[in-house]
This record gives sequence, C-alpha cells and structure tokens, in this order.
Amino acid sequence: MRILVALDQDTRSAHTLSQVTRLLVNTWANVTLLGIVPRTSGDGGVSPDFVATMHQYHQAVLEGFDAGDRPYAPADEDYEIAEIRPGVFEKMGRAAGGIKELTVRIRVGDPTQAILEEAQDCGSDLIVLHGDMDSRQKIATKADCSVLIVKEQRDTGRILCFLDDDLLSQKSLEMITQMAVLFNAEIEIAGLTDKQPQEGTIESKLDWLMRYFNRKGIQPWVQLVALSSLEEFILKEDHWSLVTMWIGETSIFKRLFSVNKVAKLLQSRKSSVLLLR
Amino acid sequence: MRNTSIAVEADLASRIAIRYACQLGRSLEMNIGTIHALEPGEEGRSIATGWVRQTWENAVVQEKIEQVTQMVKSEQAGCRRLENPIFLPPGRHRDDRIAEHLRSNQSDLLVEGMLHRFEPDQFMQKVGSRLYRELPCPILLAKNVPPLSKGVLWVSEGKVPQPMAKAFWGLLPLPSIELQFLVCRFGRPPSEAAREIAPTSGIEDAVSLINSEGGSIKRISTVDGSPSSMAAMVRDHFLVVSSVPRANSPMAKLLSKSPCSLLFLS
Repeated sequence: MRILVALDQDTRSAHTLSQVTRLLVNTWANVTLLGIVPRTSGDGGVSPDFVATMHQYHQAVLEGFDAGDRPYAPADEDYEIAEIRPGVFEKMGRAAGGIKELTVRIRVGDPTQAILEEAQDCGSDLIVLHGDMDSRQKIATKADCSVLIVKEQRDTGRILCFLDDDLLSQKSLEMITQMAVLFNAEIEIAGLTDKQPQEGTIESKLDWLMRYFNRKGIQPWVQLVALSSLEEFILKEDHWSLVTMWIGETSIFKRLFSVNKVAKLLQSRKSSVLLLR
Repeated sequence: MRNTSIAVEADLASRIAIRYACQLGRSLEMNIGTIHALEPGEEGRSIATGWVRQTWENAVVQEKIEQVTQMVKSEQAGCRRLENPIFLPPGRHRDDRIAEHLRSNQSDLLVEGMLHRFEPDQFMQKVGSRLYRELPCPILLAKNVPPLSKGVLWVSEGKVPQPMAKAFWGLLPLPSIELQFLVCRFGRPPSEAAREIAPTSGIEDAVSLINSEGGSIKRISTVDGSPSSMAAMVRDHFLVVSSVPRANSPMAKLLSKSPCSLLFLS
C-alpha cells in the first residue's frame, strides 16, 4: 500500500500526520509526505520555513516507531531540497537503508492539481488530508484512489461503513480493518436500502461482510437505513469517529456526492470521512 | 436444560438469531431447536383456483422448506447443537401457531431475528404483535451478535418485580456477565440532554434476588430524558432486558433505537 499525505502549515496537518503515523506503524506502507505551497506571485520557490516544517513532519513520522522497528531510512539532518521537475521539490538526504519508502516532496501550485498529480505519479492507494483543506471536496470527487479526510480528534470507539449496491474491493476492506485498528473502534455497517427487492442483495452483502470481519476477529454491528432517511440518520446518529463509504461506479454516493446534501452534512459533522474506491 | 426455539426464515436476521442463540449455548446448557411457520403462498397474491392454485401453493411451501433447511444446515457447521427445523403447517395466524408450539414444547425461550433499522416502524409492529403482547415465554429479539463481555442492561420505567428477575436469572444464570440497571424517566424534551437523577424505588427486590444468586450488578442509574437523548445508553451491550413496551410509547421508542439484542420478559 502507498499512502500520500497532503500537508500544509496548518496545525491540523500535525494532527493528521499523527493519525497517519499510527496507520503506518500498523501497515508499514510506502508513504509520501507532500507539502503543498499555493503558487503566489513569488519566484515559484519554497520558503526555508516551509522546508523546515516538512523536515519536522518527516522526523515526527519516524519518531512514531520504536527505533528497532522502523521500516524507513532515518531522516538525515544534512539534507537538501532539489527541484526534480518544475514546481516539484524533493527532500534528499544521504541516509540510506529502510525496507519501505518514505518520500518527502513539496509541490508549488494549485493544491487540488498538485495532490491529484502526485497521487497519480506515486500510484497512491490512499490520499490523506485534513478536514479544513479547501480542496478536500474536489479531491474527494476527482481522485482515482481512496481518500481519508481527517477531522479533529474524536474517539467514540465506533466507525460507520455505509454499504450500498457498489462492489467491494479487497483493498478497501483491508483499509477498513486498518482504520478499525487505527481508531481503536468497533465497526458499524449500515446497509442502504429503499426498495424491498434491494434488501435481499444488501442482506447478502451484509452477511458476507459479517463473515469477512468475523474471520478477522471483528464482530461488526449491522443495521439497515432507508435511503430516504439518510439525512436524518447522519444528523441524529452522529456518534462515529469515522464514516466510510464506497464510491465506485455504481455507488449511490458516486452519483450523489458532489451535489447531495449528504456530503455537506458529513462535512459539517465531527467524524472523519473515508471515501473508498 | 433450557429449551430454546428459534423462529427462522431464510434470511440474514434468522442467521443472526441462530448465531446469537449458539453464542449463548456455549455458556449455558440449552437445546437449540428451529421452527418455521409455513405460509400457503405469498400474501396478497392469488394464482388461479382449484388444483392449479393448490399445486402452486405446494410448490411455494416446498421451496420455502428447502430454503430454510439449507440455511439451518449452513449454520449447523458453526453450531453443532443446532437442531434441524420443525415446520409448522400452514393454517392459523403465524403468531398463534408459534405460541402453540412453544407451549406444547414447553419452551423456555423463543429467539427471533430482526435486522436493526433506523426507522422504528417494523420494531413497533413487532412489539405490538399478538405474540409479543401475549408472550407465551420470554422472547429474545436478536439484532446483532456482540461479545458477552459487553454485559447486560436492564431498562425499566420503575418497578421490576422479583418474579421477572427470577425468570431472567433462570434463563441466564451467568455470574460473570456484568449487569446494569437503567431506570428511565421520560420527562424531558428531545432538545435537552438526559440527566442522571436521584434513584427511585422499584427495583430493590430484583436487585436483591440477583445479588443473592451471585449475580454481578455493576451499576444502577436513574435517568431523566427523552428516547433520543438516552439512545447512546442502549447502544453497546450484549443484551438489553425489558418488559414488552406498548407500541409507540417512549420506552418502545428508546428500545427501537438500540442495535442490541432485546430480551422481553413478563
């Protein structure tokens, strides 16, 4: 798995990074820490202050691991920032080793474009960004991979997975399992349904998911929610650390995400949001 | 040895009911039987008359028998003590046939499955049904299968008679399970948060009986609020125990919000 973490100098980036570090400790994923510098009227370069922040982020990730259990190369204090392509900078150090990649990059330009291009370049499976990044809505809609929008710390011990007619990928299920570990939470699955014949299909998927999670030692809570009650459900039952939803081609959320009130509702909630593809 | 019957259909809710009963069966001595009340045909549909109709009805019944048998067989792989299904022939209302079976079989417990729904309508129908109103024996409505370690929550609006506590302990004599009592007062509007208030009398007999049997009562609280403000209190338990509430009453609304399995006692 490769994770792309979009970071800026907002304090919420540090919180996002601490969450991601917990995920990295569990997954040993390849990771790119991507600093975003919106293009200004300057020379298109990166300020030393921002470079220093990215170095701190790099160190913070490594400090999340026990010294003997770290899959990444150490952070070299004697590093350089090289422009590898116009507007794309990479932190270069002399320290070698590490069985997994930890890349630190900075992109100057439009944040949405920068994040999506980097995700494409590094082949990321998951983009992580904090809930106050202006570009989150566009990235959530346009990305080809899963997107995790991290909001403030909220440990309710429950994560919610919306389930609809969409296909479930093995990768996305593994990601939910990782999230359950990350948030130290139990899994609630809400099957979305509105029509009687649809319930049979959703029930079969619920049963399959229950068995899948049971094999992982997880006992999920299951429930059904009528699509017509979805808005009320999100408003009234707002007790989750994380809300996840599949947004594949046939998904209800794929069809509704950019315009529907549900997306706006989730933005206004305190739960983090994971969009699975 | 407790005699448990699970009323099954060929659906996920029934699988949950079976898994829940089998989980209980790993801690308690109990027989676990399954029953299915056959229906002559799909309600509201009428296919021809005479021999044609009879043939169609027989085919529907046969198909249902096969589906239920297959479902029970697949669950038997994870629960050896699960017995093959007994089919109650079509005839009177489903509830009457199940009640009669429970009485003749001297069942100690009926387990039924129901998927938890955000919308309360089906739950209200269930608690308003004849079977639940008459309660020929305790009924356990299984909605989810959390671990036993999540404990039991007993909700009431005041009095819990000692015979009810005795019936509970007779069914689930599990000293290792933590038990909590929640006495609910529904005196606040939904916009206000629920508040713990001074304890009121009414559950002392039940508490002393369970204590004398070696039960482990973790907490007793009295809370004033509304069904929605108390919903979080009924969200995370192995089992929630109650008497059968009147449909659409505040207690029924509270229980409809619980994803936990519910045990109804009289």
